[in-house]
Amino acid sequence: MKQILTGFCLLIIGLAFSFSASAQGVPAKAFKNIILHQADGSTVNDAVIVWRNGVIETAGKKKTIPFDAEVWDGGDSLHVYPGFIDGTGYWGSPDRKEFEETPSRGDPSYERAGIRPERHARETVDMKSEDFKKVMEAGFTTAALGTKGYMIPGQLDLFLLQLEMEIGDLYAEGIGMQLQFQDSYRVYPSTTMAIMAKLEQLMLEAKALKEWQGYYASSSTEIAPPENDPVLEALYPVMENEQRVFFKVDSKENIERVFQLQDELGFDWVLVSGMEAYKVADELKKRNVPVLASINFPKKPDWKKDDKDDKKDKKEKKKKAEEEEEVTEEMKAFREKRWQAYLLLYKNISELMEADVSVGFASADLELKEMSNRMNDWKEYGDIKPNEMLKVMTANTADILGKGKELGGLKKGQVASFSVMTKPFTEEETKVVYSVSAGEMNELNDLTQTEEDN
Amino acid sequence: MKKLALVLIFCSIALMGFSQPKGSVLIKDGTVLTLANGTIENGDVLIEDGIITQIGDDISAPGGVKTVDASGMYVMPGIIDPHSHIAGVDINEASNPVTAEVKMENSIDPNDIAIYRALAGGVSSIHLLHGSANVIGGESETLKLRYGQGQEGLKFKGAPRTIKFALGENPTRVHGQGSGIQPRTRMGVEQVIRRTFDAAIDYRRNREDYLQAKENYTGQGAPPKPVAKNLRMETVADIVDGEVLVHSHSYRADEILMLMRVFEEYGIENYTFTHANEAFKVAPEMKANGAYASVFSDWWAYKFEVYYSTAYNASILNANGVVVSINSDSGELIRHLNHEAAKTIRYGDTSKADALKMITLNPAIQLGINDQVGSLEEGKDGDISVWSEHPLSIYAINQMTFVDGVKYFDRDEDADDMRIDINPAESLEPTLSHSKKDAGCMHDVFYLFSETTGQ
Repeated sequence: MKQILTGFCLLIIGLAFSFSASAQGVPAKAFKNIILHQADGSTVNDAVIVWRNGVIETAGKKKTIPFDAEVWDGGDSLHVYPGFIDGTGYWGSPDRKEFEETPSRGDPSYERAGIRPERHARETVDMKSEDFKKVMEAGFTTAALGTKGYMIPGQLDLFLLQLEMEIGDLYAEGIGMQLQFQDSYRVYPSTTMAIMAKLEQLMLEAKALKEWQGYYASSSTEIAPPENDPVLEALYPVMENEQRVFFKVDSKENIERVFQLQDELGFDWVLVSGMEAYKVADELKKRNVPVLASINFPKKPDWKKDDKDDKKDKKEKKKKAEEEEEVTEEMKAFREKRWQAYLLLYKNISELMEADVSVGFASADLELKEMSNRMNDWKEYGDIKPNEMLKVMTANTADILGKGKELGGLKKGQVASFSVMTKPFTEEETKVVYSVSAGEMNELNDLTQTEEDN
Repeated sequence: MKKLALVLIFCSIALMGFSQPKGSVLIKDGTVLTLANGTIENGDVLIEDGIITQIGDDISAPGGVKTVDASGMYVMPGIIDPHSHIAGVDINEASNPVTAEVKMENSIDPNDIAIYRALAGGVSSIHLLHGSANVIGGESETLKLRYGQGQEGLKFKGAPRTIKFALGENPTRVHGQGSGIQPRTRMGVEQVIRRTFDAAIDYRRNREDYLQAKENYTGQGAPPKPVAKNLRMETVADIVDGEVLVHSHSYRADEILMLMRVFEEYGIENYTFTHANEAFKVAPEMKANGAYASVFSDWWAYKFEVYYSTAYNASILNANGVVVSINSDSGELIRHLNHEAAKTIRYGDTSKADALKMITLNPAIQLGINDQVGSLEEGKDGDISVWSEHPLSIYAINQMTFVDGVKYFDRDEDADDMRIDINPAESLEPTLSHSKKDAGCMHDVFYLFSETTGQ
C-alpha cells in the first residue's frame, strides 16, 4: 500500500491510526534484534523498531512489539539508520532541454531563457527512473526533487522514495524555488551579470502585475484586465517571502553575488551545493542562511591516488612511478598547494558546522555512480565524525526543509523512513538490505543469496 | 625566503581585517615625478592612512610609519588602464544590441592572476569594461588593484558610473551578421542609439507620470496602470541625463563624428572614444566637442576597420588639446604600459610629462577620478609605483606598487606562485600560460558564431 502523507496533517492522522490500529485491522510492522542509530549519533543495541500505517510507534531497547505485528529479525547484526534525505536532487529529472537556434536572442520566451518558476518537479520527473532504486541503495528514503534546467528550473517537490514511484509519494510540493547562475546558451540572459539583472527585472514586473491585479479586483471603475502571466505569478510567493529560494551556487564570489541579490530583493534563501561556503561561513551565519551542502568534490588527481584507488595494472603503475621521479621541486610545491585546496573543499561541511551554520545535504550535481567515492572522500578527508555525517544527512536536512518534526529521525510519531544496513553506513561494502519509506518495505538486497549467487 | 615574503604580505593584508585597507609609508630620496608640480630630485612622499599628506624633501617618518628607500629610483603615480578586461568573469552579454542593465560590478574576478601581473607593471587602477559586442553594452566598473581583497575590496569607491558603447564592425558582426537584426551597418548602429535614447526618455516620463498618479490616487475613479521599473531604460535615461560617462569603442573617423553629433543632440557630455585609431583625422572636432580619446600606441590591422592607423595618433590628439590616454585592452600589454606611453615620444615627439600623463592623469580624467588619483599631490590617494629607471626608459623595471599606501607588489618579494585562489580541479598549465582574458573586447562572443557562420 502506498502511503500518501501530505504534510504534518497526515502525520497526525497516522498517529490517530496507531492508537486504534488493531481495531481497524491495520497491522504493525517491526524489526527486532537490530542496532538502532538515532540521528543524533546515539546507538542502541538489541533494539526494536515498530511502525504502523507509515508512522513510527516505538524505537529503542526493550520495547514491546504489538501482537499483530509482522516482524523481521535483524539477528543482532543489522543496522537501522534514519533514511538519508537529499535536500536537492535531480533524480529522475530529464537532462536539460537542448534548444534549436533562436532568432531572437535578446528577447527569448520564458521557456527558451530557462525561466520556469511555474513548473514543478512532479511534472518533469520520470517516476519510472532507475535512479530511485540506486538512491535508495545508497540509504536515501526522501528527496527534494528539482528539475535540471537553466536560470529558474522550477519548483522543488519533496518525495518519499519508493522503488516504484507514484505521484502519491509526493510529500510536499513547492517547498522552494530553484535558482542558479546557469545561462540558457546563446540567449539573454547569457551571463551571470545578466541573470542577476533579469531576476531583478522579473521581480519588478511581478510587482507591477500584482499591483494591477489588485486594482482590477478592487476598482469599481471599468479598467483593462491584467494580462495572464503564470511565470510572473509564480514569483509572488518568493517576492512576498512566503517561499524560499533554493539557490545553487558554489564559488565564494557567486555566493557573495546572491548576498547582493538578497539585499536588493529581500528574499529568504537556502544555499544549495555551496562547495566554497566555508569561505563565507560567518556571513551565512549572520544572515541565517542554511546550507544544503554538496559533496561533489573534484576527483583526486592521479598523483594523489593511493593503491586503493588505483586499478591500473602493474605496467601502468611502473610508468607512473617513473613519471613521479621526474617531478621537479617546483611541481611538488604546486601540487602541495593544489592538494591543500582539495582539503579545504573536503572540510567545507565541518567548517560550516564549526561556524554554527545550519548544514544539511544535497546531492545537487553529484552523479550517482560517484556517490560512494565522494562519500569515502568526505569521510576520509572531511574532518568529520560518522555521527556528524549522519546528522547532516538526516535531521539537519529535514530541519532545513522545514520538516524536522516529521522526518529525519527514528522517534515515535515520525514518518517511518529508514534504511536497514549490513554494517555501519561509513564502512566499505555496506549494503542496504531494506529501505523502509513512509512505512513501505522495499527489499533491495537478499541476504540469503551468497556471493556466488550474485 | 620568497615563500616567507609571500605569506607575510598576504597575512598582513588579511590581518588588517577589512576589504579596502589603508596604509602609511614614507617613500624617501627618489626622483618624484608628480605630474602636477614638476619633478623633485631626492624627493620624499609621505602617505598616511592611504592619503598623500606630504611631498617634498627631508620629510621625517611619523612614529610607526615604515620608510622605503627609493634612492636611485623613480617615484610616479600608479598607472591607470582605462580599458581593461582582466579581473572579469564574463565580459560580453552579447545576446542583445542593448544591455545597459548589466553591470561589470557583478562580474569581477578578484582572484585573476592577471591582477598581480598588472601590479608588477606598475598599474594601480583599471577600468573593467564590458566588451564591445553591443551598441550599448553594460555598465563598467573602475577598480583599484587591491589583490587579495575580494570583489568589494577591488571597487574604486566614489568613481563615477561609466558604460561601454561600441560602434562599427563588432556590433554589426555580432547582431547584424550573427543574429540578422539591426544593426547590420554603421547607419544601423546610429539608429539603435537614437531609438534607445528616445525610448528611455519616453520611459522615464511615463514612469514618473505613473508614480505621481499613484501618489495622488485615492481609490476613487480609474487607478493608474503600473509602469514597472525597467532597469535597462533606467540606465539609458541616466546616460541621457549625464549621470553615466560613456566610453565608446570606435575606430573610424566617420563613426566618431556620428556619435559626437548624436551626443550633442541629446546633450551628452564627458565621453571617451576608446581605440579610436582614426581619431587623429578629427582631432580638432573632438577638441571642440570636449571628447576624450583612449588609444593604442601602435596596434592595428587585426580587422578591416583598423587598417588606417598611425603610431602618431596619440601625439596628434595630444597636440590638438584632446585629453588622450593609452590603454591595454590586454592582459599582456597592461604589464608594460610605460613602454606604450614611451612610444609617443619615439614616434610623435611628445614630451615626457605628457607621455606619462597618458597612463596616469589623463585616464583619471576620463574616468572622473582625477580628484583622487593620477598625479602625486597632497590629499590624493597613495597610489604609487617605484621604478628602477625613468619609467619611460626601455630598461625601467617596476620595483614596487602601492595602492592606498599598501604595498601589493614588491620585486624583492616576488614569489614564484602568487595565486590566491587555487582551483583543485585545474591542472597547472592554465596558471603558467597567458590569461584567458587576452580575448579582450570580444571575450565570450565567438560562441555566437560557432554554428551560424562556421568560424
